[in-house]
Amino acid sequence: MNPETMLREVFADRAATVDPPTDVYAGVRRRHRRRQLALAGGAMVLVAALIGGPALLLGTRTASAPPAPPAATACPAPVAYPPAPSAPVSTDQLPPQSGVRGSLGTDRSVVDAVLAAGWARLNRPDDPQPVDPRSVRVRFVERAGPGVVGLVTGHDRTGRWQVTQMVTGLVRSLVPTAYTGTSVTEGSAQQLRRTGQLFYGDDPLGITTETVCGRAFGLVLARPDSTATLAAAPRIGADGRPQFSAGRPLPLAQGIAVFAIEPSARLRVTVSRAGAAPVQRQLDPDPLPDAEARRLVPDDEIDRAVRAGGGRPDRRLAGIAARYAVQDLVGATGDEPTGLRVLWGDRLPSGLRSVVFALTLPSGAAYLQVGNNVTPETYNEYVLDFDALVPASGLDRPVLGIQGRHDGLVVVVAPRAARAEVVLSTGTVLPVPLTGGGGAVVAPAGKATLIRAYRADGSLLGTADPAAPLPQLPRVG
Amino acid sequence: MSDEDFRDFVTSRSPALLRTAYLLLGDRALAEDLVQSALVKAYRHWGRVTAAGNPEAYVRRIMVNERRSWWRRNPGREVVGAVPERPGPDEPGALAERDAVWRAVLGLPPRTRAVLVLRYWEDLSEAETATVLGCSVGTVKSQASRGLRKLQDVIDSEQAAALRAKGDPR
Repeated sequence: MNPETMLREVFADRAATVDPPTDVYAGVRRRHRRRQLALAGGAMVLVAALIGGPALLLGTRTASAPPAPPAATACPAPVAYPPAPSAPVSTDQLPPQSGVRGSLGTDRSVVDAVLAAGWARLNRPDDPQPVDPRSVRVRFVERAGPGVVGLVTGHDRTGRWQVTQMVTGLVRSLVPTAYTGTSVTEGSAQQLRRTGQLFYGDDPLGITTETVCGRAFGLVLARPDSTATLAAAPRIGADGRPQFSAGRPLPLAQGIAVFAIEPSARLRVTVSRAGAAPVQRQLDPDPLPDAEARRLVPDDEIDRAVRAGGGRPDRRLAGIAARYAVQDLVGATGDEPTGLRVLWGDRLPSGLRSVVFALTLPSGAAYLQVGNNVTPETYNEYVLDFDALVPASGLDRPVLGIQGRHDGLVVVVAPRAARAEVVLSTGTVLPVPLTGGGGAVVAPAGKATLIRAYRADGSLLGTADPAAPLPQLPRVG
Repeated sequence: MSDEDFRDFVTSRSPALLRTAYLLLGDRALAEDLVQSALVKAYRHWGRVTAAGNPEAYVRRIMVNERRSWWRRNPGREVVGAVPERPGPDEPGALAERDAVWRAVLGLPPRTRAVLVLRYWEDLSEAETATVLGCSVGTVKSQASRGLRKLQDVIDSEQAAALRAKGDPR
């Protein structure tokens, strides 16, 4: 059987295993709303950033804080979308709330206020899959600065769609903020648990940030028998390896902690529990705003690096790739780049453009990436083909050899070489066409074992092992 | 254009879109997520999408590109080797061969896999596939040829293994 026929049959077989989706329209509507709310939430974070103080960590408040009533201090006007209904929302059809965690979980008036605010957003009878009122639960209510933060969850009548609704603000003016609706599968729940984003179900485990009255707070929601630590994000040492600080215990009360943070602080929370793998998440791992990425890698730095780069690096691709790299770096570490080096770039035989570049780091180490555009003439996508941390001076080795992850591309950077070649495990030797001290060739994945570069007089300049393991960014979440 | 139009479109076309997404990703939950993500994007511009005349092609294009974007930002989330359990009526050897081909499809680079799914599942022409992927027809041809060559290797190897199992010395 020829491969086309076999492929058609295999596709048909596999596609037939996919049951028709349950009401996708409801899911799309929910996600559309979530996106709108996320945009509103972004505006709130911006407000927080503008008024936030300089301290990295302003203090920790947990459920063990004295149970004074929330103060009616100034609280910026809430940003909420869509607008909450002006008429009072009846919560008569909701089950009585008991076992609400948090220092305010036994305060009936606060719990009722959180429940009403959350239900105001969740109660959408026009939804094809409305939330089942019987499923609505207030999971916790905790103090956050002058206000409170609470979580209301529910699901539709099938139990398939889980929804979570954060509620923040002063008790007399609570607003729903972050909304998440998600289709529950065992796989997706496991993934969310691993990344500290499982805010629903019987065993929620969430690590996130919330803005309450214009101030940013870290939030941990875990099982009551959990422990947690709070540490600065790791820095990259001169050897190119992440250096983790021990951090300090983060007190949990009933499994909950709410603590003030400076919005741009990069902190790592670890939640542990006997018999379960620790869960780590960085606060806040959302992508950097474009403006911040531009500040960290300014246009003139890209211009300079491209001019100094070997080969014919594409300015536009280098700029896009470098700013993605900054997002990767900042999202995983406490480091900011000290500079950008473009090592080499050119158009590949496939017509795609490739660029090899590195963000230099305060320790002298560097974050190295190889990226390609997806189609020869478009820039709306960028494929990260390789990334790793390299020790100080690692970029100045006579020969750098990298095997990409996806298309078998082997990239060689050897500025002083006249000739280079890739040796495969089969013994085959592939010459690498060099332009401006670098070049690339496609080799079967995992087969490139050695790269050799030669001077103009034919003597060996150096070798590199493209399969040598290099430290990776300590990504979490 | 109305919400009603959109709802009708989603109701009628989401099963097909989900199947394509599943073939692109190899994971049911991720596929559903991808379909929803693409539909949310389409919903925001539904007037323009329908005015262009082929909303399904538009959504499919978003899906393929969104899927590439995930790959770019989450290379570690590549789903490789997820083979759903579904015994079929085939001979055991044929079933093993199909499983091997499916695993090989999942192991292909995402762009190559997208070309194969569009060409041999969606039955798009090379030109239509190129339009969806935003690349040249030449790229589609080379990617398809590369992917099929790899699959042929897998088929050959499975057939050789089957012959060995039967005692055929070839």
